[in-house]
Amino acid sequence: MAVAGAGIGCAMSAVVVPERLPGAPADRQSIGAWGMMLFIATEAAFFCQLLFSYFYLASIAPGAWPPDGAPQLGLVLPNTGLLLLSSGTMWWAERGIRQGKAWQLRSGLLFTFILGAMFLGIQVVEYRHQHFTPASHAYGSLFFTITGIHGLHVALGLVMNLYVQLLAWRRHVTPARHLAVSNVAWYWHFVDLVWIVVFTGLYLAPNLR
Amino acid sequence: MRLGSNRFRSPSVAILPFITACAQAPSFMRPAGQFGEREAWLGWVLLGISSVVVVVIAVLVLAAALRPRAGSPDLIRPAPGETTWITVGGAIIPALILAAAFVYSVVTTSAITSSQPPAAISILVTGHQWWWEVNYPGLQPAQSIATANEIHIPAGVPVRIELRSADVIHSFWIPQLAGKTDVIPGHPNLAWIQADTPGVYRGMCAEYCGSQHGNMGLIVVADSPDRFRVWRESQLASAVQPTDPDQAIGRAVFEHSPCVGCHTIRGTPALGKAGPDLTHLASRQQLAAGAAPNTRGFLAGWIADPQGIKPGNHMPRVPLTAQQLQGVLAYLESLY
Amino acid sequence: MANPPVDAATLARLERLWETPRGLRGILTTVDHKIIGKRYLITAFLFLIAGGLEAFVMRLQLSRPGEHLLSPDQYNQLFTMHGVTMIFLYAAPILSGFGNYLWPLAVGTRDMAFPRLNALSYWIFLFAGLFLYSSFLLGQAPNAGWFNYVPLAGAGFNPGLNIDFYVLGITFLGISTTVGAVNFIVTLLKLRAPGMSITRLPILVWGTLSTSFAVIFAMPALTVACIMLYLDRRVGSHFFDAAKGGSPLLWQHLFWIFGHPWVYIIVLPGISMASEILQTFTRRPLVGYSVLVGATIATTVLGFGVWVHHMFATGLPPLATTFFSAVSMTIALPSAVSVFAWIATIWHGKPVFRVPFLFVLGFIILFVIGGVSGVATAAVPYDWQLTDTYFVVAHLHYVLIGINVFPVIAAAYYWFPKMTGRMMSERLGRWNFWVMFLGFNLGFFPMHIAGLLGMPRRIYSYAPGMGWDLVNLVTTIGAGLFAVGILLFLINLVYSRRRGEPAGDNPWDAASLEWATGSPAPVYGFARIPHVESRVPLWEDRLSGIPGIRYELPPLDQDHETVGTSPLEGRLQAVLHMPSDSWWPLLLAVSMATATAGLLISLWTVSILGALGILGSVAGWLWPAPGSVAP
Repeated sequence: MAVAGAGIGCAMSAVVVPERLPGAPADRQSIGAWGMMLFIATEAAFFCQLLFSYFYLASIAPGAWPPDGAPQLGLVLPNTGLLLLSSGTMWWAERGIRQGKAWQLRSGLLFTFILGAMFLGIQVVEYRHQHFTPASHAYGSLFFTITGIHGLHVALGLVMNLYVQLLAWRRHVTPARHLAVSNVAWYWHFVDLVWIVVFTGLYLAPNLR
Repeated sequence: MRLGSNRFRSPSVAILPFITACAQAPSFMRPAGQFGEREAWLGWVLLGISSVVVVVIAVLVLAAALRPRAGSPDLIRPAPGETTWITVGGAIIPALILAAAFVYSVVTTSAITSSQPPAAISILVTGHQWWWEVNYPGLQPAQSIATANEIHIPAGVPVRIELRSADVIHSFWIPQLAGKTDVIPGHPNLAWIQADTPGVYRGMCAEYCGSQHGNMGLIVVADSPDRFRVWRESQLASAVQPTDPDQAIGRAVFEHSPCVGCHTIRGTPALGKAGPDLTHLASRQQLAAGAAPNTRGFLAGWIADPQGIKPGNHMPRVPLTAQQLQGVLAYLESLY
Repeated sequence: MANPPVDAATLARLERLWETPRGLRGILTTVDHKIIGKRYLITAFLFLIAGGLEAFVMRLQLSRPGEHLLSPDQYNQLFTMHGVTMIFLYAAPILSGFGNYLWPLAVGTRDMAFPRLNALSYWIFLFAGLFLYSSFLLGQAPNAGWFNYVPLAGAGFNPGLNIDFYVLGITFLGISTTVGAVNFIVTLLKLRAPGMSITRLPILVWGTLSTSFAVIFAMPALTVACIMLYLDRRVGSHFFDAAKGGSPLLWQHLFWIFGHPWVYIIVLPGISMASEILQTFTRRPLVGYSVLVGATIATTVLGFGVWVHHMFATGLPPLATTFFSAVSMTIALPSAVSVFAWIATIWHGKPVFRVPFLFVLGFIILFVIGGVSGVATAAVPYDWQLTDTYFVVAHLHYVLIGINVFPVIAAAYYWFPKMTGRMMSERLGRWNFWVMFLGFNLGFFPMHIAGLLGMPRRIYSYAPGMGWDLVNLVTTIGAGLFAVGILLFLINLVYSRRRGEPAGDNPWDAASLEWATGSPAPVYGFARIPHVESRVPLWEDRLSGIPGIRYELPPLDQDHETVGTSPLEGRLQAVLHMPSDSWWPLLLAVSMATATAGLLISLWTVSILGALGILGSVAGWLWPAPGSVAP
């Protein structure tokens, strides 16, 4: 019913109208995909402003920045690896449904979920080990806000992951039509990309100086 | 359409109040020193260009709309050459005008910043809600001057003002002497002023800073070099001793009242820093950052009910009997 | 060739498919872009009146020196809420209102790309506006100015709820704006009538298209700033605290990185509407269409590069201020080019002096005055004298009233027939125009002079003997006259709704697609989606002999359908199945409002309840409807 019936044979000569009008595409051309891309664009701008704030305050800091020395890399390096791996499993899951392998989709989503949840757990452990709090100084406020808001985005991605798993379980996802999977995958890759930038700016850069 | 023009029948009658206003107002259109003058010249040029542009465009719009047309078809077809206007009138001419304005603006900025000699007299001004703390730092406390809401400068030389904030963002502005410089906590700023002729120049806070932002004025008194020296000498002295019984009573009342928690009178036990220094209060022209003139009547009103004159300000009401108030007034009025 | 013959059975089917059910359920669940558009318009006009009343009371207080009508605290809340109301609750939503109702029709489709998201954006706007105004009931309306500088807006100097209302209300409202921008972008790029390539897009929608991208990139700066301020106030963080490594200037940067693009967002769609109206009343296609489109895009992009001009007095290094001064002057160029495009169009056209055209002429003049006063403030040393004075107040009102309000009133007169099927009174309209134009200039031109005479902004009163008495009195009188003009407009609206002359489909004989369907527009928009051959579809056959509009597609009356096309060429790509009435947008908006209220009063249970509501509503919203094919 989403595909209009045939019968456009009476088209006027100057215009080419296909015999069967196609139903809404489910790929990058679809309006659902556009919606997700624009949402990602605004979130990207959001993180840009957070990072701008960090680098602005760093540039005018009278003393050392970070004030308590560069952040430890012991936990965050492997944690970053976990998150990057989860992008891999998400890509693998999407590839699965494109090739018609529902099991690959579901196990890929599950692995992604587990890796993402581990990332958040390790981040909580890292928070506990910090010697400063958001109320210690501006750096502390920025550190916890930037990584915390990123963590909220990861958590949201996990909720979306569960939702898609539910859709898949109820057979609303097919090889031809799986926009929900693609959208969630793009979002997840975006969240990972943000983490790479946050990791480089907040963790790596101070350690390289 | 005569836009913004006065609508009175008799133009001269209308202009008279305007001229009076100009004479009274703290307006940079009557600059009194090189910084203000450079900014005013830039302003006049830009105003002139703006007025010409507005008139020319208005004439063009009206001419385009009202010009006589022979009977034309109902819908007019686009024709070649119609966009020439746009390129010439819309892009080239404005670009030239804007470029010229920009260059003049940069030249003015550069002239202003190059007139700021390092070895100039330097004054520290701290913005508070809602008054201006003024300090002339010396190498020792005995060589430093502290006053409030009134700055004395020698006429004819650039003076450097260091600006700090004790609380929120304020903005230091003496229109006839220079443009504004914001006063931002954590970001000390420098302002430069110069008055070529001796006189009194009004200023005010120019960044919304809370309920009494509108009553945070200050004045700059430009003196000849001799008078400035005399003023300096007198300000360096400690507070005068009371010379009659009323003043003595007043000083005693003052020293035993909560007033000493906020105010300093040098040479007495009053060492409070939260409010203005009162050592030479009587030498100042205004009270409460311009909220009232410095007369006995207004001083009485101010002490008896600060919230009445400046609602929301931080000075509390200190209950005094009539006799105590008379004494305090006599004392404070003696503090030249 | 308008309204091709479609048989009665098809029309009946279309009506049944697209109409909103009557009654409360219909009111709360509708996704009809025309109903949502009208709601936006009415609500935004109500906020205009509220903001106007706030201004009027302020003008009474300032009409003479030393007035005691208002206490300083009351005045400060009023001037803050006047700014917040006009800039956030009137100026953008009014443009969304026109956009929602008209843009789908103007590009030849039947609804916005995301109908339920459209409903959501209205509900959030309404709830956020009510949230902000509820602060008055507590006597704690925001009071640190519409740009809310710290530290004055921090917990130390503003311990009450005033600023919390501000940060939460503005952030909540920002969701509506962002979601609306996404909707406009996808609608305007993907849902056009086949054949409407990007160069055939009516000038009307270019402002919205361009500024919707600006919203996507600018709004987050404000959200970040508000989150940081909320945390500073409630959690003891130090983003803006100079003593602990923060900076009050960080707020200013973030705010103006949002704020400057925002002021273009609230005027560029107005400019585009004015261009469209100009085209109709000069009886010819616009001269310099490409130039006008280019100017719109250039202004939008450059608008991201000027924000520091709000901070010239903060003591930034001269290199920075010089750069931003240069860009601020450059941004005048696209505007100058546009003015000459309009002059050329009028010159080479045949003006028809109906009321909408009068308002467009007034708009051009006010635009130029506002523009030159803006260029004045772009010169850094001059700005050091002008900033934070009434000169800037004059400038901002010339640009906001000149480039938003005047085009909006023009648009109201112009599209009232399309929305209601009736014409507004032409006679009352002329009175409306002259009273508004003269009142506005009488009120606001003297403010330039007040600024030059040294009167700073945001003062609740002034002493006699400052030389400011006359200009303030004249301004108050002018403002009163301007208010009478607005009243005339409202009277005309109400009167014409009932007694206006019936309008046909195209009473102005205009060129764009929305005039190819009935007045008021039928619930299904177009009985048959047209195929478009020209930038001026309804004029093309008279201009060149080629029909500008053809009907080839079937009526698409089997379901809630419209077509999707490619973004640049407008090539037909698909039939799109649109969602119909739904409870989810309202439920989601209510959940968001609950969460916001919880954050205001620091009751975490309320916020968590709201958050759960949000998750549940979104889950329900996105779940595929039974029987439909999943996306």
